[in-house]
Amino acid sequence: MSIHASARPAGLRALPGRLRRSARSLCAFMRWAPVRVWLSVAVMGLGQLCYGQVLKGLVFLGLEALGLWYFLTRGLSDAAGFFTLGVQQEDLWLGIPGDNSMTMLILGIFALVLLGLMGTLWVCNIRDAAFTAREVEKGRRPRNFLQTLHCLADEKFHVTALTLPLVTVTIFSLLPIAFMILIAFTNLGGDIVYPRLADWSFSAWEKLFGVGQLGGTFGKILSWNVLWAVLATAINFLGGLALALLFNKRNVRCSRFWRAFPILAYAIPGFISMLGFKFMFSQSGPINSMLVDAGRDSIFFLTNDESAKWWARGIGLFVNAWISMPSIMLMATGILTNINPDLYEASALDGATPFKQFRSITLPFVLFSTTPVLIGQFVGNFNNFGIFFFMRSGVISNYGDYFLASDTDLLINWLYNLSVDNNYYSVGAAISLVIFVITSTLSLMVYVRSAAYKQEDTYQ
Amino acid sequence: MIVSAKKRRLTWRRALDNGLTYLALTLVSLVFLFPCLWLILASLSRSGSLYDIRGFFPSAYSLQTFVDLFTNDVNGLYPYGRWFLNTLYVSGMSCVLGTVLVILTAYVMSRFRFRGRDGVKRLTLVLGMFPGFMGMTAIYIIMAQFNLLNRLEALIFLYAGTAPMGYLVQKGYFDTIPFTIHEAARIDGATHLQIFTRITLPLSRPMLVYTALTQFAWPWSDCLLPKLLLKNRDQWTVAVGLFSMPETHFSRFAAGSVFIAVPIVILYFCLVKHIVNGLTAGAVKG
Amino acid sequence: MKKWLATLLCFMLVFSSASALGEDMYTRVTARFNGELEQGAVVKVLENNTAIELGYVQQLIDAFNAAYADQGISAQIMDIDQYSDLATDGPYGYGPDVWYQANDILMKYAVNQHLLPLPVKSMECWEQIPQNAWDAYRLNLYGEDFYCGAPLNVQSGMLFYIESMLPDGWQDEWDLNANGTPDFFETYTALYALSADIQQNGGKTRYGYLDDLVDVYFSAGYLFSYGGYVFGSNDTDPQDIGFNKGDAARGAAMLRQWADLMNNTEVLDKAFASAAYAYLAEGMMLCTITTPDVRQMFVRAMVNTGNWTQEEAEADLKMINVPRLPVSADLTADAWQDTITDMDALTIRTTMMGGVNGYGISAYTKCPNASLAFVEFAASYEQVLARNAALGISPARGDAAAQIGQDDPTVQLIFDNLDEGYIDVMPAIDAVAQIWTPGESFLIDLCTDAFRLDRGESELYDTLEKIQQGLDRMVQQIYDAIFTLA
Repeated sequence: MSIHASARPAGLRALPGRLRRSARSLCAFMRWAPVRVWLSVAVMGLGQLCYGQVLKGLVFLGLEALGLWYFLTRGLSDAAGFFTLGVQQEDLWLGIPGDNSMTMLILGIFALVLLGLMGTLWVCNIRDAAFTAREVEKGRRPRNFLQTLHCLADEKFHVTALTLPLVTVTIFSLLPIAFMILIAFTNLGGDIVYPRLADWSFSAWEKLFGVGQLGGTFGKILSWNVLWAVLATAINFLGGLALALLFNKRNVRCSRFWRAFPILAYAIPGFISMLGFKFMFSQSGPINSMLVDAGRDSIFFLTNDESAKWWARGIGLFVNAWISMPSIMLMATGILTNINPDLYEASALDGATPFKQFRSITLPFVLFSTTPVLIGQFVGNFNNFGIFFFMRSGVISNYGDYFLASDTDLLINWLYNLSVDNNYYSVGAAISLVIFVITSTLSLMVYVRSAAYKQEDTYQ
Repeated sequence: MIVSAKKRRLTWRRALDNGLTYLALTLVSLVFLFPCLWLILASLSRSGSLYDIRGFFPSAYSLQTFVDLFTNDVNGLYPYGRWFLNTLYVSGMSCVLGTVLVILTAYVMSRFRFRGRDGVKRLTLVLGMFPGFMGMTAIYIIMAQFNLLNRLEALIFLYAGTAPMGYLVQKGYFDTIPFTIHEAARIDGATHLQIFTRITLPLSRPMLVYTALTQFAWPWSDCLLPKLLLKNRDQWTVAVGLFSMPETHFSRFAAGSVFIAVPIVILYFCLVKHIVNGLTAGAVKG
Repeated sequence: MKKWLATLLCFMLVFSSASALGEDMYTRVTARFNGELEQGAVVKVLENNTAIELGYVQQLIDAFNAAYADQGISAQIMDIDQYSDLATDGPYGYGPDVWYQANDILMKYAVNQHLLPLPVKSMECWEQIPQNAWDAYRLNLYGEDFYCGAPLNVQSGMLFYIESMLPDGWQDEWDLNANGTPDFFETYTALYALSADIQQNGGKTRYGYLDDLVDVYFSAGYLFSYGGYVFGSNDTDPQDIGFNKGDAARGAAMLRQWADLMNNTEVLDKAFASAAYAYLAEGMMLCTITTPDVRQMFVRAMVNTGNWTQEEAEADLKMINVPRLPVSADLTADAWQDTITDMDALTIRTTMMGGVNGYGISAYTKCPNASLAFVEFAASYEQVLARNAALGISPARGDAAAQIGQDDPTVQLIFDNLDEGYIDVMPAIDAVAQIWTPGESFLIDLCTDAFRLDRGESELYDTLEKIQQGLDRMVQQIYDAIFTLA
């Protein structure tokens, strides 16, 4: 049942033992390995060739040649660039060519990743040769290429299937994230942008903890950010559930028709809705002009006034709900059909009111089954960049000592102001690392404790 | 006598319930419809600028904006037809490739137990929490190295390539397909590949539809990444183009928004059942 | 250590070669402009959207291609966003060869050498354009001044109004000095009086003067005219931010007076600028202040109402200098009649913030000489006249300004404003990018003050000291944005 909870500490304790064991098995392998396996250790694919596995051997050989070609032509210098981040500054006016620190950082990470990949491939190649050697020792024939392919489609299906996703995710997700984490430990940003050269440094962290104003603003924004994430998630979730219940009511005719309206909102690209709402609540917008025409004061919905603080925050919550409630509604609709109707009938016989039924049957069931989605929603809302970027960018609050931030900004908007608008890359990266640590610990803690996670292996 | 009084009370309660329900339905519908309606009306406004519309409704209506959208690109500034085709290409291709990658990942993560699986699970969960745009600089440089800047293929690779990160919902769906089917097929001598293509996929139609739709919808409406990677106007997607329009071209913006929303709305309406099924199964098991 | 070595190496390289050849830096950095046109080169020109929309850019390109057809070079419109990021795109081979933009945007890229210094001394327009305009593109590097752009037109706030909307009989009541210009367009005191009158007693329009007061670009004039400035040392020292210097606070107090009178919350939003075209045409207000390059937007809005034809609108729309500000820095202190009859004693000429739009050449261009040829062509006398005809811009070239000024005195006016220093051109350093957000935030807060009492809140800027404190805070925010994290 809770294998995961107990396996981790046990695994940690066993680590030295495991190391010892693997060292021992390595020695055993070296004593046993026949010549042809050693050939594969020396040159990838050579052992396979000697076993008569021509095509497979050629594939390994080709991969090694490709890798060597890459590392000799540029990989090695790229990897070196990772450590230096450039030595010659470019002078664009005098036409003196030079290095670009950011590109060098990325290419450096890329080269190091490829190096790791080559290493893995090398180990795979040795394993394969050893496997064949064992088969031959047992008197079987080495597998031919067709058999290898068959094996890849069957026993090793998971490896085959995961290779492509792994490669693309590494390039397009992991590499940028690694880049961002590493940027936090350079002095890139501010004056130090291309063509000027960057260097490894802890200056971002010194600023983050050294500049007093940053800390105060960080605290204020963080507390609003947490409040926002909790409120937004609760509103979206309860609202979506309420909609689903409403459309599911027995006395609602043509629920397909009524459901169409939220779906309409779901289908409009988010940024269009946000820009539309921004205009609707602006000083020249239709709502204020109706207020004025009716002889009332216009309301400072989104302007830079202290009185706009809660209006703007409230509108943010509303627009966010408008955009995301429909998808929760759709999900809840499906989940509700999974609840055993007998439960309701039984409780109705016991005299439970509809509200009581909702509290004791519906809500727990839905909450229980959607914990992962809820966590996803929470994280999504915590890092909801769009709402206040599209609706209230370009202002700084004039009260309350906000440092280059407005009272509605979430951490991620502040981050954007600092790092993208003002080019303070390293400080921005450092802050986002802090945000990341907070959100990931929080949600990982909740997730690992959640029923959905623990039950995974017992469910089937 | 007593019975009929009780009955009357019941009908009275039912009427109240009905009234309240329909009141709520109307309110909800209005809240969701109104902004959309406003956008549609604005797109039909004759004068074009946002500020000619005082209050909610334009003073004069015309279909001219929709005609202009496709026939008059204002000296090459707003080639909407081109943008639309670009968006279709990017969304379509990302949809196909992305769906394949996600489904493969989710299936493997659901059906196979291998070394490092737990690590991968936790890693994807954690990495999903990174503030995305901090990596945009890196993505720009990577695309420049692959010589993909200013090309729609860059977006396709990006959307499809990062799609496997969100495999959890699909995995949840596969978890609900009983293992026994799988084992029976194994005993009959089917390979894992055959089980996947001949048994699992046909059983997962709702999930496939849901996945394809989400993979299609995201590129359809994203505007930050295309803005970063596409330079030439005739390479833009609709979202970038709309974002670049000034307020003086508001009804063009509105018409473009309406037109881009229509296909998605139709898709959603046709496939709503599949979406519900897919979302539900995925969410329940995550 | 690494940096130090690299710098040393660089210096040695620069100095050794420079001293060996006995050349100065100007010759060295402009060496690639050797006059040999790159055969077959196609110059990619990035222009602004309004100019493309109104068809002028195509006209310019066609003219250039016709003129240089026999010399083997041509130009084409670069089909990318007008706010392209040269620093990101350039190193990877994207971006324009020639770029038309406002000087603050161009100079942001010049600082890191993404734009080339131009061989200005050999350019035909060098003599024709006043030094004030060139300074908008001046960059000090290696201890020398370089110019990274060729000024084309001057931008600054101008007062727009529609002649047929003027109050009836203004010649009798509002032309005390009988100079043919309505008095209410001559001093802000008079404009304030007229606006108050229109708002109380009605008129052809609902408001007199109505404008978004929160746009730093236009409202900075109130600060500049009383001693404020952007950066010290002639706009080169970002350590010294001057929005709160001198009597700037007294100038800012007038913004609050205007907000009080206008009593319209739309002016708290910069988006008003886009609404202004339709508002002016529909008679919401008599006049508003914006830059000359959007003239055509007003014309279009006027035609849209159906009350004007294109020609009528062009003739009926007027653009003049902004009014003079009262010495007292109080719009209600003097009788408006006095400010007209005793203008020199009671009022001062308004100094507006301005910009100089022009062409820069990308440092990543493969064809610097062809690009330079294009810039010279576009900045030539004939093309500047054509640009004025198509877009209504006011040229930076003296000869063109004088020529157009014969029919359209305002063009000469703007040129003189620049020449005489009444246009404070946006600084040519990248720190200028940090002034807008804090500035606008303060102005919104200041103007919102006019509405606070009515809504049961306490006023935040009811005394000069408080306004001064507000300005101080804004300057501090700008300073923080520039330096705290740098």
